[in-house]
Amino acid sequence: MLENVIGKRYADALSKSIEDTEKLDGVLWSLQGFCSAFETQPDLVRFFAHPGISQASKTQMVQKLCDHLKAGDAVRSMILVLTERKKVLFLRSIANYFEQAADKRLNQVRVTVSATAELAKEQVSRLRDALGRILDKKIIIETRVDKSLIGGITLQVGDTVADASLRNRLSILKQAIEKEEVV
Amino acid sequence: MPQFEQVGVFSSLIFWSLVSFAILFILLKKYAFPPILEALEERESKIRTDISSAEQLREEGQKLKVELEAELKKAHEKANTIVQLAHDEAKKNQEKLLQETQSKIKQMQLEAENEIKGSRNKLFSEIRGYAAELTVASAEKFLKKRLDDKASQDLINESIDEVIQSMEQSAN
Repeated sequence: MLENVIGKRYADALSKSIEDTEKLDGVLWSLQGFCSAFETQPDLVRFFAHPGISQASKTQMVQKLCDHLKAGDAVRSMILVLTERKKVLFLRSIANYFEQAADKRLNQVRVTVSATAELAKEQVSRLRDALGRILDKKIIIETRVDKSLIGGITLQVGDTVADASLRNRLSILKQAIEKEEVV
Repeated sequence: MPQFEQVGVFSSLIFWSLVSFAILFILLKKYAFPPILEALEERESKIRTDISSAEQLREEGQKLKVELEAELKKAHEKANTIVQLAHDEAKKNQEKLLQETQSKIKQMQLEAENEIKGSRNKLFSEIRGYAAELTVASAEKFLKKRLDDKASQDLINESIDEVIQSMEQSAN
């Protein structure tokens, strides 16, 4: 709950500080890079969470990371503020909310498509065109391979899931058999 | 009669006898009769009082008898009422007990029926569950075995159409 509040507040502030919408993707990419670094390197989390390590050392580490990720001024400033306020561990939540804010400003929506095999370019573009027409937004498709689907695809747009997989159909069949009344 | 032929002989004797008798009578009347009469009156009065008391007692006894009879009758009636009430109460209790027993039997019957129904439903549910598991597992195995690349791609294309259609319907 607190994480969401903090994430939303900082994400909104960061979004408002960037006037040029073309820079939003770059900022998001940098934020994702930071998040990946924190998630893949548990030592980094322990470093920023450790109360015995000085603020100066943490600031220095942030500068190094920003240089390494070639982060812009906006991201650099925000990470430094987060480090000072000991909120750097809320970065994942901030990145998620920033992604939503950026998508809103860019009038785009992220769609996750899972299939049993890698989707062909033609299939992806068919989906993108159709969804763009239906939702009247720019569609960013992320594809995933999920063999447990058995066949077909599942599609997730925000909180909405459209499941056209064989796994789902078998699940419906199973429920139907289980619920069938015996006289 | 020969006795009266000698009155002349005994006239003085008769006279004195009469005089002495008179004197005796006067003396008796003056000194002896009053206490005797008084005693007799007292006795008479006492006898009268006793008779009156006896009569009163008899009447009281009669009255008491009537009262006792009435009391006895009342007691009999009360006893009869108590017996009747006891009888009614016993009957009522018997009926109540019978009703309770019947109700209990009905309840037990209902519970037994519900238990049987529950067990039956549970059993059917388990059978349906097994049947569903078996069906789905078999279908899954079959599909995995039979779905080659082409079929899989066809299925993906069909799913894409289906998803687009579903999204269109949701949007409308």
